[in-house]
Amino acid sequence: MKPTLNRRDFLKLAATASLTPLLRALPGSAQQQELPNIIIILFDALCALNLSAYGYARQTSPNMERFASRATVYHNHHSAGNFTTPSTASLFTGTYPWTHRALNLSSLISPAVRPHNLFHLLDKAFNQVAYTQNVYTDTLLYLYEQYLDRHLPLDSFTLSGNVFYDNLFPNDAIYGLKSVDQFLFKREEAHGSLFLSILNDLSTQFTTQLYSQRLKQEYPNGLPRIANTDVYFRLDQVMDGVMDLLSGLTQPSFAYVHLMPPHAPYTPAQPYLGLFDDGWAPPPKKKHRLAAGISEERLAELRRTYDQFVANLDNEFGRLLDDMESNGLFENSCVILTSDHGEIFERGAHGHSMPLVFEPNIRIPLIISAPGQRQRQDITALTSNVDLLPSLLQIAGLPTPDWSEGMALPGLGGVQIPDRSIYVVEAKANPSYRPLRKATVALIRGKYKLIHYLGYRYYRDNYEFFDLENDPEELNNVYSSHPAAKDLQAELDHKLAEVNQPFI
Amino acid sequence: MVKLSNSLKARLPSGQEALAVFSVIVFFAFSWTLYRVFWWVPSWLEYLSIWSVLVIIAYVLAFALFESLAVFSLVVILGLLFPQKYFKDQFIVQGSALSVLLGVVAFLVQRKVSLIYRLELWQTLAYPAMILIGAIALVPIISFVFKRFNRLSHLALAVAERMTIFAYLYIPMGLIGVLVVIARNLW
Repeated sequence: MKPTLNRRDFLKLAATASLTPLLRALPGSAQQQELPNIIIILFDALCALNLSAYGYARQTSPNMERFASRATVYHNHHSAGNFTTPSTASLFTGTYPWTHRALNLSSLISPAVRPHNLFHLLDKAFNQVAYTQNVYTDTLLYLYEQYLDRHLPLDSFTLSGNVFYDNLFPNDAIYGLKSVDQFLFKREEAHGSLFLSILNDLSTQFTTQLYSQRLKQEYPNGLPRIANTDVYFRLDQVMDGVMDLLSGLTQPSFAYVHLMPPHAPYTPAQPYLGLFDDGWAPPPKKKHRLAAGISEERLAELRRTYDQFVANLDNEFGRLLDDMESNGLFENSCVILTSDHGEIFERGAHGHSMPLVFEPNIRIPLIISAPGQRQRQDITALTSNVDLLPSLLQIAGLPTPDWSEGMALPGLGGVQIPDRSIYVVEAKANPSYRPLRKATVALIRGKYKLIHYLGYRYYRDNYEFFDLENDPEELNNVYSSHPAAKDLQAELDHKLAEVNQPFI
Repeated sequence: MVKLSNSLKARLPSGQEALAVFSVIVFFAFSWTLYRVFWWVPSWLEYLSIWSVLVIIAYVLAFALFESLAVFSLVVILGLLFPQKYFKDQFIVQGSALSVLLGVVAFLVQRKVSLIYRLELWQTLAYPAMILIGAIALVPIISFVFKRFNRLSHLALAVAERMTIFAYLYIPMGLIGVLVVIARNLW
């Protein structure tokens, strides 16, 4: 017999019942009449483990540390996926990838889950503004176009290059993107268009070279580029554009700003190129069977360039902080700094979109400054980016919907649950609407983490188990010897059977 | 002015000539696009509904029609630039031969398209200029060769004529695509 109050219901009840100090500090919470602005600033592929604000050995993020000094810092925050599409879909819907089904790079959120989203829920109470530099997130935003008061084109504030779908097909952008930008003129691959795509490539390369030469002193490694497009930008110009955007918000607004850096290609500006020439390297790790097999030397070089790009980004973030401070935005806004996924430079692997879900791939920053907050608060509880939706609803004084798989964050109306389970799902090679048969799924509960690899050739149905408290670097797979491994395996197997059921 | 206008009009192809050359271009543009579509469809079906895939195909077919018209316009412009005896008098042969050459060059470039992203600034201008100059230089050569070897001329005409079969198939597909794109963007 189904219990009338299950564990999730209990947690949600507990969350709404205990309003924590941070929530009380919100002038716009349900307790007062005027809602605050909610501003999400998301930097793509920003790994928490590479931030000095999270204890990294290199001083990559002094300005994020400055921001953290007046905010609530979540130290154990995870993305629900290891690349943009599933993870931002989880952020928007408060559900895991196995529910929203945006599993592949170009996937859309399933029609059944589409109405369940942040923009819909906040629609009546907030003016909603969205700007992303990530083409896959932009596709998802177009699903919510009807709720957005302002949706800036992907190539806003950029230097050269353009995207067609935003400009030519604003009423049918998703199909414009999939047919024109991602097929007819698809980058660096034989295009769907035989003749004109070549002219487009040549003209793009011409303008890119023109700008690259003009800005060679400032960007010796090349201009920052929006990944998967031919759109180039200067980071400072983009940040100026974001400042203008945020300073023009009318309270209460919900602003989602998603910037591409420090996502590859890593192109730090000249002043950052000399940084971190310190020979530092994390402990070496054995190459994983599902990794590309990149050498330690190459990984160290990539990590260093990434760290330089993070430092460059952090400097720009500092300018944004100053601007927001001078505009008084911190007094009437809840400002959230986060990412969609991490970036890995170990085990022979580089990047994020791969069958691996080790901590560097999925640990993302989450720093939330409540309106008028002056004191730092640190939260070590295990959290997931599916928790943002219920947490933002708390700020807006709205209840958590029962379809959400997340729970309000501790510090934002939620409670710390010591044995809470969160999941990470990587299934880009799995068809969206079929059971998960080729995927990597991780369960993190308390200090333990179990990874299940499904359907990979030569690594089929393997498990890895780590004690994150005693082995934070995930060096020792103790799946076969640790007494807790079987318990987590049973939970994960049960969960997989449950989520696969509708697709069998 | 009137003389120039009449001279240009005289160099425009007749409907039948235009259809024959347009058919060759349509064959290349649509066949390539459909080849790429078939290559991608299995991937699209992994995460998109059949309806969504059909919409994407409508978009790309509409574009293929637009692309064919753009290339055809280039051939017509070349015809306007050259003396009548070099181009207009052999419009089908000249137009078809140039279209085939352009198609082959484009096909070869597509196979190594990522190389374009390694071109230096001057190369992005020089290479297309070379292709354009090459195409212009080919016109009198083609004219000479096809006049000299009648069999080649007959072959070119026969090929162009057979291509019209594809045009009768592809052009309506492209037009349906155009209608779908217009409908989806208006409402």
